[in-house]
Amino acid sequence: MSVVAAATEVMRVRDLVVEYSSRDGPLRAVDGASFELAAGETLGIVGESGSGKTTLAMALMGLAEASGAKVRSGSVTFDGVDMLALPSRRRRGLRGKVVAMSFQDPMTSFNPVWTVGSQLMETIRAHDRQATRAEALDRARNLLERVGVPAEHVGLLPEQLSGGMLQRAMIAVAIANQPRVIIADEPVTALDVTVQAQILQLFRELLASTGAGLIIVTHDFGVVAELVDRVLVMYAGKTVELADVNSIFHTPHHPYTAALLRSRPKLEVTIGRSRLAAIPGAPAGPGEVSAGCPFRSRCQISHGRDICATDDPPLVEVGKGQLSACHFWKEVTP
Amino acid sequence: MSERDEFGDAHLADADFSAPDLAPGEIGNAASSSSGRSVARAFLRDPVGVAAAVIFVLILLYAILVPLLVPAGAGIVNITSRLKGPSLFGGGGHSLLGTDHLGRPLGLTVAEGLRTSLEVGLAVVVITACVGWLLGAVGAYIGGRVDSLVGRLMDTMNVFPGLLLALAIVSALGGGELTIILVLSIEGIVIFGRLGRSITLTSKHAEYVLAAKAFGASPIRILLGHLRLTSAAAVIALALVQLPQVVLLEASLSYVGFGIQPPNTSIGLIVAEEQDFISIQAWPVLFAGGCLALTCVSLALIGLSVRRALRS
Repeated sequence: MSVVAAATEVMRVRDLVVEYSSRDGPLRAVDGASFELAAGETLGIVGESGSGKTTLAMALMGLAEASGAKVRSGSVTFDGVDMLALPSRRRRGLRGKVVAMSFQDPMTSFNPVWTVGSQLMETIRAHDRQATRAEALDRARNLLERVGVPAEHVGLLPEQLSGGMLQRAMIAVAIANQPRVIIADEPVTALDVTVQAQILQLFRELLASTGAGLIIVTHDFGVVAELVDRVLVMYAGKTVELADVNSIFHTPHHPYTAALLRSRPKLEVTIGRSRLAAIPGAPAGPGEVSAGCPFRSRCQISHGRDICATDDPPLVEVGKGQLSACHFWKEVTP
Repeated sequence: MSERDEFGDAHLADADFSAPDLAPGEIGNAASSSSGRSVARAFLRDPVGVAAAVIFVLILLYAILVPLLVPAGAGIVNITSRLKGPSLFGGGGHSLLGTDHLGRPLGLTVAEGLRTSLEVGLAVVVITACVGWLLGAVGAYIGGRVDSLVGRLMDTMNVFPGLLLALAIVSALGGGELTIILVLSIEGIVIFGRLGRSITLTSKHAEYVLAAKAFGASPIRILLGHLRLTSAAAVIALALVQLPQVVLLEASLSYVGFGIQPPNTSIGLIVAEEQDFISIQAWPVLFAGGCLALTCVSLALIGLSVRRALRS
């Protein structure tokens, strides 16, 4: 969608490993994520529930600890600064300013007893201590108008706004300090379809006008097709495929990607009853797979071959800019 | 001035306390007014609460205005007119509400006593609500060792029997308004501390706290912004329940001699002094005790009604 102009890199993630601790030892929720993001580019992170998408998003914000996880290794670099290596105070200075996040559920992401405008002003003043209340209020009103919320709503409580309006307000909070990178966790999942389209359009306009990079966490391939330039597919914490959006849709090179694409509802007219394709089995949880490919038990091309059970397939380049972690990626059919 | 003004400000939202709320008057200020207004509306629909509020306001006016309006020198001792009944109800003396055992007009003494009682009650509740909430909330928010330290501190404050502690402090520092405020605050802090702790424990993992962190809010701002607002309703409700209890406690302490000391006065002290003459003239004890009872009952009923309004 948005053209990657001159591809200035705004964010680089290297070998990020995030773990939760449990009685049975550490559980790896994100196992070696690596990617970069260019200004104006949109990266989609897709995968089933429990594949580690949200954990990865939180770790990218430097907030893994706040959600009970721990970054084991790896780096998250913004403009050459590794956020994870910074002390917490300086890390806080980056959050909201360089990288901002819009949360999954706008209804619960605003404090129910505090006006939307005040929460917006709070964000503005967290990074601009010189701003007076009047200035912050002014900017809050402008931000709301920019995302399509009437400026008068600045004094309303979250419960007085609709879900779509709240999601817009959430985006206003995210863009309040002109961040270089915006992370949107399921930005439209809680909304109905017409509102979804509006929000996606809003994202597109904001990216075009601000040049920020966007990371969008979703399980909705509709959103991916609408908005995303590149796609990172996660399974059991691992990156199984990373490619531009056209390659993902037309020539997926990982059986999991192919299976996800097959299981999305289609609009083609079918005669008689048709069933939605599903991937057999349940997604592997973190720590459940000790050796081999985490997807092998549900894989339709493995056919029980030994290498799948013994060797964890590395992420290798299988096409131009396309990475896949499958021993038999050549056998994958869309 | 009244306890309702004091807490009415802090309603559900917008009191300025370093958090960037929209100040009252700025752009409609819907946060406080929508929730604050609906609470006020619910309160006004409750006849019991309104009646209690009217009674309390009358008591308050009496306690404030009478000492200001009576001419100077009216409160001097006058042995010739001791223990007269109220002339208002056809008693023998010249004073509207009778005289005490030293011949001072009872209407004035009781008003002063009431004022002391309400001052102490209000001060204690405000102090305990602020300090207690802050202690509990900070402990719970930081967690770990700080939390257990605060917990132990509160347990320690709690294990001392109230009266014994009061005795010890009063004998060490001497009676008086400040001492009694200190004594009564120690126990109240524990109560508000537990409330602050439990609310913070349940809401510190709320999505909106995580969101605030994601936008770069510092722990102090999360505590004084988000968590303070989240706790406000419960703290106000508890404060209103605590107020009459504190007023009664102060009266009890003063009654047994560990509280306010002469020449200052409080209701408890008046009752203690006048009860020696109860067989000659029961009116002073009845009047002072009645005022205290009416104050506490009206405060308790206001508290109940506000709690109901906050819940609706």
